Amino acid sequence: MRLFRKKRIPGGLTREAALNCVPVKNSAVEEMRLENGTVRLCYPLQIKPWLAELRRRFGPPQGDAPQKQLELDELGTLTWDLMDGHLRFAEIVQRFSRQTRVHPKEAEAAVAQFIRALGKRGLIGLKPTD
Amino acid sequence: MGGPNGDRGEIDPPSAGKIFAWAGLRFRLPAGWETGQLGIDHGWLESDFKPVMEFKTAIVKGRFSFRRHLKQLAQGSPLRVQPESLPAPWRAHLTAFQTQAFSWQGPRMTGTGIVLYCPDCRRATLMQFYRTGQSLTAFAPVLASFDDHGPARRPTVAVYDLQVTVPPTLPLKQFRFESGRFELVFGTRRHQVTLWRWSPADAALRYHGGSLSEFARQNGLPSAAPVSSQRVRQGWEWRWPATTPWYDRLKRRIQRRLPPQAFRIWHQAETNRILAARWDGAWDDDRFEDICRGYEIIS
Repeated sequence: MRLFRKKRIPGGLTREAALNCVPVKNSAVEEMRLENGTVRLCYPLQIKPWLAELRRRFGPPQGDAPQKQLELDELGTLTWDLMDGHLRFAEIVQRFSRQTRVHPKEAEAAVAQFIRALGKRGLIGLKPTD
Repeated sequence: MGGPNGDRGEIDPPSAGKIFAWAGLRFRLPAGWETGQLGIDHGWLESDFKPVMEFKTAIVKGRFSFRRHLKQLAQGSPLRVQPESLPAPWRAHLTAFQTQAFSWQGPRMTGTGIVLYCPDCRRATLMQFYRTGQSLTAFAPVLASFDDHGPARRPTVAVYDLQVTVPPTLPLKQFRFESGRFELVFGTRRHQVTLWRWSPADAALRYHGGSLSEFARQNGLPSAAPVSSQRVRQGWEWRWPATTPWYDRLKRRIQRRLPPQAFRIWHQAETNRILAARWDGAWDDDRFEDICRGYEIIS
């Protein structure tokens, strides 16, 4: 018996549905433009509820939520800039492919990987379109 | 092609469209089609991020039976498969093959498919076309240009944006298509050719201080000290001694590693790609040169 098995979320997005979604940035994320043109993202760290409770009880009295930083590379910055809240995933892939001159399939894999990585950190979400 | 001389009847294969070559098959892609996903003997093609065609191929040992293969297809997948007569738009292109068309219905999609069997090379190929509002005529150019054992001097691999012609004596052993980095390994126990392709080259080179040789050092260049290095067109080439001391040979034999012979890397600024080829094992200068010459980027 597996009592502590991780619960699977039913459903999930199909590739076609994901390509039609619009990646939307989390408003809590602060972006800082660096000298080399890349972007550094500062975002509140997502911690487990029990850790948050522990921190509230025993941590600093009025401390800010712990922050984390993520520095994007050149291609990450390009993708981040393309996420303007209006462009669909598929459109971002097309523009990324055109601007970097990479193969569209490769661009799709790279952008998907990037969006997944940012999504896991809670920096972006995918908004479905009609 | 069905006939030994590439004869397929009165209809000439189309010369327009991007060439696709994989797993011993070659055909031309209709406009907008791209490589989707690939396995060693199968793959799918897509258009506008949607699948348009799937294929699987194998050399058949013994007697070939369409009925058995369609039955296997229906049993091994959630598809409902129904044999059908060969669609009229396809008929003229497939005179050199034994064929069996079928319609299929999956949980979310439907389509038409065909099993082709070439009695000359004993290769059977299953192709499934997805019905996405296109008529069957739209798939005819694929079948018209279909070739499963044409002349040797044709691209062995033409997928995504790369194309290479490798002699049939060097079969594909491994491949990896990751975003930014493609790797293909051809070879036998005696020699091996590894091909790489990196993209986008400008970003990759900037990351390595703009130096192609520095990039090579971290990507595929053997660690053994080369005997020579020279500039080649748009890049560099390193060579290793053709013969090595007996203790080196013994060590490599124990480790089952082939000795490196040559490594060439070049930057195609016009396509924003970096290409590299490496030869390990019994040295063949002409063949390496031929492979490098036939290794290119297609669009």
